[in-house]
Amino acid sequence: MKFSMSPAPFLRRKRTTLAIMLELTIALALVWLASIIYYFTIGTNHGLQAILIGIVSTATMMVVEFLFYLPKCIKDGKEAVSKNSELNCFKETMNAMGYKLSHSFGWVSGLILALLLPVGTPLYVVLVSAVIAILVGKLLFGGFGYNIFNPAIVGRIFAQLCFGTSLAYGVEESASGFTAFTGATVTSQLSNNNWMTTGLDIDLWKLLLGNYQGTLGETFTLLILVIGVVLAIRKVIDWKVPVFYVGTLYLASLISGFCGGYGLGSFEYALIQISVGGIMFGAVFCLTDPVTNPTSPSGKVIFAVGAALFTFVIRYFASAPEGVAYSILLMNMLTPLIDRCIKGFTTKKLLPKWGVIGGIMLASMVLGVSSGFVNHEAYDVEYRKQNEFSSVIKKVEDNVYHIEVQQGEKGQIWSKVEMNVTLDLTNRTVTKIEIISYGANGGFGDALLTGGEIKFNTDGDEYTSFPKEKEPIAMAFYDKYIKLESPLAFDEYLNLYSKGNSLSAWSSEAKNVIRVGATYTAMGFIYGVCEVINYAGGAQ
Amino acid sequence: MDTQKKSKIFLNPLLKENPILVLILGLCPVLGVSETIDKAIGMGMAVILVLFCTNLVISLIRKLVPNEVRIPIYIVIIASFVTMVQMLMNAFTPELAESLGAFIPLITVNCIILGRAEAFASKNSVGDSILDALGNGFGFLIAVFLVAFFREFLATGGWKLSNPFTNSTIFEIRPLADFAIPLFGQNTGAFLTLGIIIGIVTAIRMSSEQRKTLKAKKEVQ
Repeated sequence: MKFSMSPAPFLRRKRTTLAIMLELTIALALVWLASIIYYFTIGTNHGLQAILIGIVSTATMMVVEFLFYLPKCIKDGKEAVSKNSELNCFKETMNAMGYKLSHSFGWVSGLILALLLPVGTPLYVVLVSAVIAILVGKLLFGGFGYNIFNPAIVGRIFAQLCFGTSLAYGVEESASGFTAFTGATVTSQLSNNNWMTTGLDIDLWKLLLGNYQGTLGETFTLLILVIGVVLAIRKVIDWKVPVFYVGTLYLASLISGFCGGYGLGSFEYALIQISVGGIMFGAVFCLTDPVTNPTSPSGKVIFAVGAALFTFVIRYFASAPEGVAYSILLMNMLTPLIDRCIKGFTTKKLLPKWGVIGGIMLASMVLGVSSGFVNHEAYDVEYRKQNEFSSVIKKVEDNVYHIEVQQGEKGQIWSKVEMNVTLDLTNRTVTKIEIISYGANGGFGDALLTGGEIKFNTDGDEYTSFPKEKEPIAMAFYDKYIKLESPLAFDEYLNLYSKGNSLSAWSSEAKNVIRVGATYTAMGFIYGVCEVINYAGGAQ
Repeated sequence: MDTQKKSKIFLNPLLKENPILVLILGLCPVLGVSETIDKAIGMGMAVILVLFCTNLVISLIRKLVPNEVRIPIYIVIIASFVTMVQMLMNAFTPELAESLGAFIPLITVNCIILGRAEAFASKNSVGDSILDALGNGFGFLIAVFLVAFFREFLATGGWKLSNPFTNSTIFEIRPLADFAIPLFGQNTGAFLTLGIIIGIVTAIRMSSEQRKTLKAKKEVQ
């Protein structure tokens, strides 16, 4: 009698990896479908774009995998033929290829990457990111099961780093119909406002239903939540990772809200924090990737809590508005370390293990507290990074936008401008700029001040006066770009600003326009007008 | 036999034992100056010149140098030639010298140059040392040009070549300027490109070696 021994594992469940991955694919396809329907309701071309992004991303990944595995599969096919000459070489090669492709799950990464990109993304950007994602993120590490990083996140971050400026962030209704525009997603608006929801028109229901700007997949928070629960019940994903990730973020945001002086409103504030941006999508679809997770249950908890901490830190303390992708990559990198630290802890020594988790949770709370205080202070002194302008835009009425621009160092505002800008989108001109207030601490602001042309507030600052006749260049600048006796074309502003948004570059250029060193306030005006033009969809 | 040996000294470092792509020596300047093909060629020429002079001088004095203090002596020789090259470049190709910046003085500490001095020039005749210097220098040039070729294409969508002496453009084509990936002009792109090129070269090398061992086995049988 002949005994045959099959390789381990001997105890098998009926569900194979393939079946689990197919369930995940169906879940992702549902989110994709929802986004396609949503974008079709906005406009046919946007709906088509949503379909195309998904197809291009998935197809690119499959093609790259096909080409990568082709030499090996041909070799396998030839070998099979050399053993049994009745077989067809081409057929055998295709069989081997079919097995490779169906066990590499390139389409899952493809769909996730597509859902992580905004609808305005040019298709060649999708293509290049998909190639980098699958090749550098997965195949070069040895294929499915050997990759250190989540391939889709690699692709997303590559797209962010390379094409950050050309990633149009979504669509919004503007005077000239629905247009794609860059920049002001809810996340970046919040980030510009130091994550304070006051003064911003943010509705929790709107966030939950996905009716706002963002990437293709990340906005449908409620749908993702339901799908996440179903997947967790069917054990496609591990419930611990998303629960601890979102839970830690919620807790940290809650504490941050209390310390920021929100009182009972903190609960809503924290809820907004976790439903905005890619948190939910990242938690359910990206963070749970079993290949890049630690293997032990407690390792998974540490992984999730750590990712939440990184997201929190990046969101609150760094200039990037969206921290989810970076935090996932960082934790992917730490996964082997977590696995090694946790090894041996799983059966005995429960105390140290939970001590580590508790410690991290505690750290998150401390972080929340400190960020609450820091945030509060930050809101008071109103500063962003040095030399960087930030702005908050609100639409007052049709074609009229209210914008607040500020720039400076900690505790010191170098430039602060508040104004209403009226645009004429059909003729692409700025028709009226109504200045509400601006800072004057020497230079251009003062030149305007003593010109007696407009009302001002100086916040009680001391200043040196410049009579109007001594500042003819500044006044000419004012007459041309701000007073606007006749409407001025968008391009005039955009060209002036495109000299570079680093102040030194602009400053040297501005020597010809206004006097040296008087550029902060002037640049604030130009920056503000350009932001409004971008916001309204007037930039081309 | 002798000419075969001599040609091997020159040809081996070009591809088979390329200092960058195979021996992984002196990567720092490759990462630093492979932004454009202009800079890559300038750097390659500078390295060839320095390597030629140092190998020549070191093999000339190889019997005079006491073994205990050979490294300081080599370094002094290398540093003097690098200084000369830097002065020459400042005088005749000021724009190129400026764009290469600190990488010209850093040729002094390039492992290829000290490595060739230590491993070859100090043990071999003047003629062989010159051949070795040229081989390794051109090997470096080939590698850095290869990296720069792909990086400039990916980062700007085309190539530009200019005359370093007059700083006038010889030719410039940018067919894919609209689809440029600026990341490849930065450090990340340098690491990515160099890594992928070294990976491909290693894969080719290993498969050819495998084929050779298979052939040898068959012949034995």
